[in-house]
Amino acid sequence: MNKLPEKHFINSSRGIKSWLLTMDHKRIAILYMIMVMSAFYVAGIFALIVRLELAKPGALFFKDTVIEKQVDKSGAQKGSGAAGSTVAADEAGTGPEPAGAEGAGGDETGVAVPAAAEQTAPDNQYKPIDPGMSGDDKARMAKSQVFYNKMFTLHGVIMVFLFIIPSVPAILGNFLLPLMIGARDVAFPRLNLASWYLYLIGAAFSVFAILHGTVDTGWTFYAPYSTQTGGNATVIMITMGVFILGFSSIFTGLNFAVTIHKMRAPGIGWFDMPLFVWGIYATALVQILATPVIGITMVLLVLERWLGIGIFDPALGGDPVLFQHFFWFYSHPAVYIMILPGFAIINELVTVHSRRHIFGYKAIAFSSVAIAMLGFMVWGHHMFVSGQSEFSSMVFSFITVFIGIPSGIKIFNWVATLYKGSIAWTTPMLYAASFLILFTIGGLTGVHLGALGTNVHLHDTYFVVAHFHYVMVGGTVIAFLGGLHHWWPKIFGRMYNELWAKIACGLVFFGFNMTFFTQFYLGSQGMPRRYHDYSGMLKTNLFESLHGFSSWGAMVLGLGLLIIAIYLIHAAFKGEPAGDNPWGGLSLEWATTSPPPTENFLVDPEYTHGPYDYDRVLPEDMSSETAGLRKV
Amino acid sequence: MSQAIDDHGPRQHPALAHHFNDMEQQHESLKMGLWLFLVTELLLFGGLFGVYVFFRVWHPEMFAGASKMLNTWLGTLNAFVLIASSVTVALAVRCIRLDQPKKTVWYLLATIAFAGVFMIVKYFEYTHKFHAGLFPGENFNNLDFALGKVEGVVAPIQNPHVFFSIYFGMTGLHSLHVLGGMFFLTWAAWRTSKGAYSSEYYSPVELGGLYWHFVDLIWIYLFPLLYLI
Amino acid sequence: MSAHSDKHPHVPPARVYYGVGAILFILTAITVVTGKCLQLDSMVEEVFKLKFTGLNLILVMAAATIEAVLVALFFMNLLYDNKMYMLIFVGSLMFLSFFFILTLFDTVHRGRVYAERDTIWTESGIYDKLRANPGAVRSIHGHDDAPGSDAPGSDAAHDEQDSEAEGRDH
Repeated sequence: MNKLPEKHFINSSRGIKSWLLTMDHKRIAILYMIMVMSAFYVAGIFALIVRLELAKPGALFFKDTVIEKQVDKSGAQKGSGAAGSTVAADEAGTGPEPAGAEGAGGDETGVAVPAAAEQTAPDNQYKPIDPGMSGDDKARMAKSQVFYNKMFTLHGVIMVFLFIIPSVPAILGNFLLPLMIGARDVAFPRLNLASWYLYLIGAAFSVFAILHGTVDTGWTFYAPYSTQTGGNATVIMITMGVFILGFSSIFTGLNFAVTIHKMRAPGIGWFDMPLFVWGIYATALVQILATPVIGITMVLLVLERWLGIGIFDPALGGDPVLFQHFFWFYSHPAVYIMILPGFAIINELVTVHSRRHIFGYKAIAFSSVAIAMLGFMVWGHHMFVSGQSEFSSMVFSFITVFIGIPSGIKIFNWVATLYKGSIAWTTPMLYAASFLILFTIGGLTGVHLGALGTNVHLHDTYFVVAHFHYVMVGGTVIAFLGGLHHWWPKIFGRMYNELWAKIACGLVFFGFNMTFFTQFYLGSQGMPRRYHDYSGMLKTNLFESLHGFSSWGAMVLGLGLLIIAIYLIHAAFKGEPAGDNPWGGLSLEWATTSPPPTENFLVDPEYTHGPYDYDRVLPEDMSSETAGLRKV
Repeated sequence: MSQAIDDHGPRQHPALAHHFNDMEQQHESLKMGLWLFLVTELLLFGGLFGVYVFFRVWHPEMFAGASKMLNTWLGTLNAFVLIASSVTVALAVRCIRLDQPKKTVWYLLATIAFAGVFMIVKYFEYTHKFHAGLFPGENFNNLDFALGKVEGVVAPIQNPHVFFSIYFGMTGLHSLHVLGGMFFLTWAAWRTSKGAYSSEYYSPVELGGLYWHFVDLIWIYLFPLLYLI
Repeated sequence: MSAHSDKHPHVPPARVYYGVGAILFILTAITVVTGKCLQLDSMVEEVFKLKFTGLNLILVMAAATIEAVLVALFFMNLLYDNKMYMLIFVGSLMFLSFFFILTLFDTVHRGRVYAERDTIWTESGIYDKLRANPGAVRSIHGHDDAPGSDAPGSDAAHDEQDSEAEGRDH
């Protein structure tokens, strides 16, 4: 029977103040976990509302009598981005959906048009805007649409800025990084705490702005919308929120980079670190290099809105496409801020649970850095239909293809690691396997979107939505859940219920595929993204059945995530004590107690063996008393 | 935190944080942290330099014309002032490394004084621009270009206000950094005069110096880009 | 731990700082003189009979870059310090250049292919056909205004296409 250590970082001091003013990276990780996971579940509820709205054609929320009136007036004119010009502009495609996706085609002139809808509907059947409609109708139509816009904007902004970007680095990275390299803490503990408070302030700013006001710019804040629509105060507020969140992210990355460079325990060289650390390192580099640019972009946007400085406003001699360059120079690397930590986790899961040395250590390490570097040169593939020059579209499309190489190296190396390993189908391993399947699908569909020709057809359709959800949810979130399950016994010292965990993992996997695989088909058939209603289109019947299936999948996915929340929280307080090394891992975090003491190790660790030396070290020899191998 | 494992050796410096092994590790970590911070600052300014480059490539004539409204001599004065301050702060760091805290304080005070001169000159430049109606963007309220009254500008130029948006954006952000540097160096000078730093522990002075040189570096590029070409 | 374990790193003598400062002053003076008083392009043309453009720009930026390198190497101590810091600094400049170059690929070439397409279409007479049959406009102008409002005819659409192409060609 395992027992928890008497003194560990959770019970070392008590009281709310000891948590809110803590400098301990492990406690800060838990503070982050509380906030970030709350954001995740809240944003998930918004996603369910979005899926509910789309389950059937026609408005579901706030529909009033508007639909009938429209039918009377002008046939099947029920919506599809048809309300006031701001709503139409927003839905046309620049904006909020999460995760970087090839989001967006704002038109250069600022006149955004639901192009895909035009293609799918013959003239006599579909009219987006009837100028003769009375103001009353418009207002009520706008209500359901504005509600929908608000919901997916909330879903997008919260998921991207408040969940995915900080998720793995700020929670697992914060907790594990110093443990894995045998340090007592991160290099700048005070900065670490400050970045958590910045996160709180930024979160308060942005969520308040969306809830309170009329931010219909989407999470991309494209220039004609963000400088003209919505309320002055709220748009400025949310951009400041993003600015602050950016600095939170920069400080985390800066802290980690310095920690990895300067704080490794004696004997641990660059290639003796677990690959998780390499992944976090690559992420930190991207955070440091890319995030300041979003900072200055947001500042310019505020100045544009406030003083009309004319950098992005064509009427004043500016150029709105320039905003997209500025935005995506951050936000494409931000996609790698989201996915690289996912890769990092998978390295640990596939090795520990199959008892195999990682295949191609250096290849994986360098491919992380290569992805981080290449990620800075491909942002233009979000702008293929934005009016940027064809020449740069071609260049960006060309460079984009190269991203496939390091990603492929990783996938092949993980599969090669598993080959002939003694795979234990534990919950973390199930998540790792799900990741391999889902990320491969997400990655391969990325090739379709990176190719210039197909992108124009698929741009701003549900194909894009499906693609980035496969990468972000199927990649990052699945890996993150796997990581949580892998390190939960280390963080809290207690084990969760494996049976429920496996059931929930299955629900998540199948629910996710139900939700998003259908969307590939939807998108290729021309269903545009960001429409709250798809009635009156040429393929409404097809869309209805696919959307309906997708919405059911979302419910299954939601159920799975709910179960996970329940048993994990239960396990944190009441679970069976897990022991120091429940999975038999060899990296340094398993050479301390679970939960670890405040100073991380009982004695200062020394480098005795590599993190993946399963061929020469027995996990049973790992001991928290020596912070390494048991002395014989 | 108090129950830190005591393995820092017998004579550990009071400024050594519990999670570092020795002063050198702490110093190097702080320095690397500052360099990475400077990288973020560089990219922050980089966005504005980007705006400058893209618009200049589009409208070189607008830049050439609008920059005639800037006072080169005040800009030159500021360039000399900032270079002088960079020299003094470098000497301050040198002195603290040689255990001469008194001289360090004086050099730091000289640096702060130069920074003050810089800010005063900037203040006069800005007020002069505002009086002439040379506001950024849509508040631009100066007819000299339209009336052909600007010396050396033959053809009327379009959108001169964009140049002033860039001018105020870049110099404004730079001035904020000067102010920030002044505050930090003041704090460092005060701490030095209290005897907090010596050749064993001088990280704040050196970090402040590095930051100040960076501010100087930005001006070295800003000055010719805005005033001269 | 860190590669740099020298307890007493090199402290340069004070005259190094004074010397570098003096060079910086001189270089700044040179940039001001070239920027304000000289017309290098025409001077070179008179003396050497060679035609250049932008010599002022090149000289001023070269002087500024030398100044920046001096500040970084001596004042910021990069010459004597851990080479890691130099790597960090130069690396960040590299990423900034990615941003500039790849964005310039767009801003410099904006409208080039659109303009060519417009010429091709004009020469092929397709606009004449469209004028005769306004209903077919949208099949080409995929990104047109809201359908229904383009009914008045292809003339407007044609003009818009033209002005759009010109507008992009900065």
